[in-house]
Amino acid sequence: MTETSFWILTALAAGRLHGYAVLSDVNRLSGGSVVLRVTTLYASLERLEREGRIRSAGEEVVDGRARRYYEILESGRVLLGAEAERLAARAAAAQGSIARGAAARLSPAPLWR
Amino acid sequence: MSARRRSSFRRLLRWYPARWRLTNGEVMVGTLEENAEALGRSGPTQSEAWSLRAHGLAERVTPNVILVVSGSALLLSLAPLAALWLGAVDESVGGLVARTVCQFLGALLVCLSAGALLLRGGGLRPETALAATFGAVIAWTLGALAAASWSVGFNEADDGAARSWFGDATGLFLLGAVVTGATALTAVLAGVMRIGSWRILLASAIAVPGAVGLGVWAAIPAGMVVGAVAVLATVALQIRASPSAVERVRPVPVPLTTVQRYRLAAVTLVAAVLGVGSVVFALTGSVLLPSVGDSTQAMRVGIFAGTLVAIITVVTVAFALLSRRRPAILAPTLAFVAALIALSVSYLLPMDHPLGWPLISLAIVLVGLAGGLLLAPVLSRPGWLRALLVTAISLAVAASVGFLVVSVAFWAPVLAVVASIILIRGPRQSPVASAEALSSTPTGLEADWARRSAQ
Repeated sequence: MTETSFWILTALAAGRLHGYAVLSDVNRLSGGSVVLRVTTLYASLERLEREGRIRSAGEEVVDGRARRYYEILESGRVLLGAEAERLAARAAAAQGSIARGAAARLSPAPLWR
Repeated sequence: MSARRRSSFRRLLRWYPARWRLTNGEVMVGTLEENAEALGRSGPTQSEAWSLRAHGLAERVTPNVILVVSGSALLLSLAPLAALWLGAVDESVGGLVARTVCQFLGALLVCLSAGALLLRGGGLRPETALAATFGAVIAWTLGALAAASWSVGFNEADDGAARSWFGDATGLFLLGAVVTGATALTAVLAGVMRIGSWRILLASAIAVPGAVGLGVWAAIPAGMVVGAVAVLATVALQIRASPSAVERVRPVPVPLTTVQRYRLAAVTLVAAVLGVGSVVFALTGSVLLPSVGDSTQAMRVGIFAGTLVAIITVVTVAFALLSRRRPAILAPTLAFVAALIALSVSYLLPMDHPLGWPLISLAIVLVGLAGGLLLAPVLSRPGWLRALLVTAISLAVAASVGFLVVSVAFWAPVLAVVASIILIRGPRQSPVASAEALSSTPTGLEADWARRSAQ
């Protein structure tokens, strides 16, 4: 899964959102590390829709601007869940390793005489 | 300000196809405006404008467009070869220009088609693809100028005339082509490999010899034909995915019995021995059997015999594949056997017989047809498109590797030995069969793994 797809699915997993809301949610959720262009957003939304991960869920006009809402589908939720588990397993492995390393530093091996 | 901003975004959206704009245009303009408002912008930024242009163009790159571009590349690359085959090579300036345009425009179109495939597959960002397209156009134009400059310089030197600036500028054009080509290739590689920062140097290190290699490849007409066909076949495979084709029930392969395999292996081994005998006779027949005539005559007799023996190998291999219920192999086999018969007849005729060369040409065309027919089953699209693709692939195979058939007497024995080894060793057990065999074990990691791989 690409990083863009991951963040879009993450934003939509919380609920139905329109395009600009997805854009700002991705920025907020990623702590500002991912700033999507509008073009990239719509190309990714189209691809995810084609793959059956999300679907468009209505349109409305607010202040003369058209908005299209999107919602995550079950397959998208499953994919996101699997990716989140994979990332969590990686993070746990890294943290475990760091913790073991820190413990080893606290009790250094005796010098050989 | 809002109206002006909106019209700026609408103007940029014209880069997208009209059908796309109809469905998504207003929604996209709305989002662009909301975003610009939130960021306090009065209009699209330069990078945003380029992104819109690139994404708009990317939306226009449909499989059918790639098909047309790669098909054009194939036609362009076949033109110089056809001229060569027909003995119609024009040595005038016009001929030189036409050849160079065919060669380098064909190479550019092959590269653009390959890039478009990467773009469609999500391996390349539209912005990167657009930048690489600019680079590729400049690089291949400079490459064409370098080739033309070299030809002009060569002719001027040959005539003993004073060198013109154009004839002298080959190195400059070449350098420009390599630099721009390597830059474009770096962008593509960095995009595909998803690398950034200092590791872009790695992409550059690959791109420089890559650009030189592409230039050398473009100089070989047959190489370009193969490239065009590869892209064409990939596109054809991508766009064929009609549900009916995917859901078509495939016949279950039935492997040969051990006795059948050994019999076929014995036949191919006999063909290998006879083939080696034919080669030995072709090379030493005039010494071993002086009554056959001079070395040329002995060579022709040896090749004639070797070509006939190759038919045994081809038929045996086809029979082995047919037993696995692959009827698709039948038509290409018939075409290849027909090619071998035509070739052997050409060697049977006296050397200066008027039918000699036409028969060899026919054999080459039939080999091309065999290649096209071999790929036909995977090109399941509308009949007319499949026929067109089979024709294009056949022409390409004939023009690029088809001529190898004239030396079939020399390489068929090797093929026979390889085929007999494969037949004796027997087919590898398929993962499904392995899983079925292992699933009889009630527990165990291996059985579980095999069951998973079978799924």
